[in-house]
Amino acid sequence: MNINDYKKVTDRLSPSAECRNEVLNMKKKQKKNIKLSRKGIAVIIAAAVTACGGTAVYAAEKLGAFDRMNKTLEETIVLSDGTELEKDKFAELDYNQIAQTAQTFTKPISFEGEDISITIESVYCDGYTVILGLTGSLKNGNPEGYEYIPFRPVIKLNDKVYSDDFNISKGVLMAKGKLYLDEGTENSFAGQFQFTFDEKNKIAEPVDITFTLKEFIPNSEIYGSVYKDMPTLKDEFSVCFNVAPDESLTRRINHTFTDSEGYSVTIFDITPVAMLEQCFSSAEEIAERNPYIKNQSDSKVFAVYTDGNGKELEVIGMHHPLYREDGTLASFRQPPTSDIINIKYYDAYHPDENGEPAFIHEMTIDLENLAVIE
Amino acid sequence: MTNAELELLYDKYSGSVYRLAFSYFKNTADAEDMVQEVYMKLISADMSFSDESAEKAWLMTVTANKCRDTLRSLAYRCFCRSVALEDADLIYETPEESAVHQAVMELPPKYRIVIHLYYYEGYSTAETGKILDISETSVQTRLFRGRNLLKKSLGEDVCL
Repeated sequence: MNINDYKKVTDRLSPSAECRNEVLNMKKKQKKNIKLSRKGIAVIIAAAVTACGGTAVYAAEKLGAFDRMNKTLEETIVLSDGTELEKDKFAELDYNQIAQTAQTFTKPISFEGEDISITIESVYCDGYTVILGLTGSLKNGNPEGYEYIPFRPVIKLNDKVYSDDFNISKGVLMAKGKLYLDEGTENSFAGQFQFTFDEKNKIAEPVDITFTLKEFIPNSEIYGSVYKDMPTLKDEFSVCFNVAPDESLTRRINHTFTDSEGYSVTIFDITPVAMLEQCFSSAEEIAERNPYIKNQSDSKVFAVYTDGNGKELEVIGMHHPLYREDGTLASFRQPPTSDIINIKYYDAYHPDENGEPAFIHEMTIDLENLAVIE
Repeated sequence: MTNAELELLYDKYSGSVYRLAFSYFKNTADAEDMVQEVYMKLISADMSFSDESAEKAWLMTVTANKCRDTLRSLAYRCFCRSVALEDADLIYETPEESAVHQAVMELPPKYRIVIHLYYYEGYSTAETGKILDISETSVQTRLFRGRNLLKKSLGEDVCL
């Protein structure tokens, strides 16, 4: 086999005469906007992203931090002790979509400390989820070859302070912040920090966010392994900025789909980041208001969601289930890429002859027509 | 830019632009749309170039950027025209051509594109890195992995 075979086939490819005429006519007719943009979702500005006490004009350019994260997450990540982490652990979110729909600061907010430089370039906010896009570098180089720097900031939203990983009772979930080494570089990091709200506490109006970084998370806290110590943070990094939710990012479904056997699923909202939903396996369990989440140790029934394009809609680990106003839990799953979703129910407590969770039921829903497809 | 200059630039480089776009999209319709978008940008940017290599590099860089943006867009992912490769007016004169071309086109995009730019267009790893805005090291890594995937797919080494 020879690569020349690829070259020969490719040599035969050429644009049509019609294409040539279209291009040459562009100049003749001075048409500058013949073709529609293929960018799909335009970056819609709900409000200017401003620094507290000042204003800054929004810049509708592609975001560096999230784009760089997407490149990095295409590969495995190597921790300082050589452990390789598969990208799936971190790529639950679609950073392509986040890059397309986040808001950029025209004047990025930067901090120059004694040991690190960090810049907050951008923010994604759909009301449920806020994700900050950050870049950074270690001031004294990266001789240890760190590829992954986790951190835990303190967040203040207006007058509420959140400083732990879990604030479920407060209606907020904060994941660890993470900086990843850019592929092919020695000391250029890009990453994110995110927090998620439940329905009651979601951001509905512009809010002042104070982001305070006091420390990196020592590696020994991660995955039970002991690593070399992370660099300490000598300075406290604190910045304040105002963020408005982009309501256009939320597709409101708010519909319960129930089939003839009493199985049901409620889809609340869909954003580029996640789909908020609840799933019930039988009429009795609907009455008990008891949601089932895949891999939860005390669940007996779990559901696997697949969209019409064959994509499995995993529960997003960094978006832990949040309590709704009625006290039930709703899950965040990866958003669908089509309006058709197939849900298969399995019974983990009664495995089949192969030892796999037994398949018990299936239903297919149509988000556009709000119907169950029997 | 005069009409004559545009015509010259189109006749010189549209084939390369088209083939790079085709390697991204794997269908003729989207590849031709991309040719038009790239040349529209050329017209509106009103560029002047120092030499031929700069001309082509600019066009290839813009093509790669626009193709990448398009593939990432939600609209494309939801509504893309999924034309099977065999419907894309490809001409295979031997079974080997078919096997190798299809194997390359089935590679993940990040390997397929560097293989196209390096082996087909003849760019160096440094030049390929500049076009795709990635480091030379990344290009080398992707070429290595792409070649290994081709070997696995074809069941034998591909002479490069």
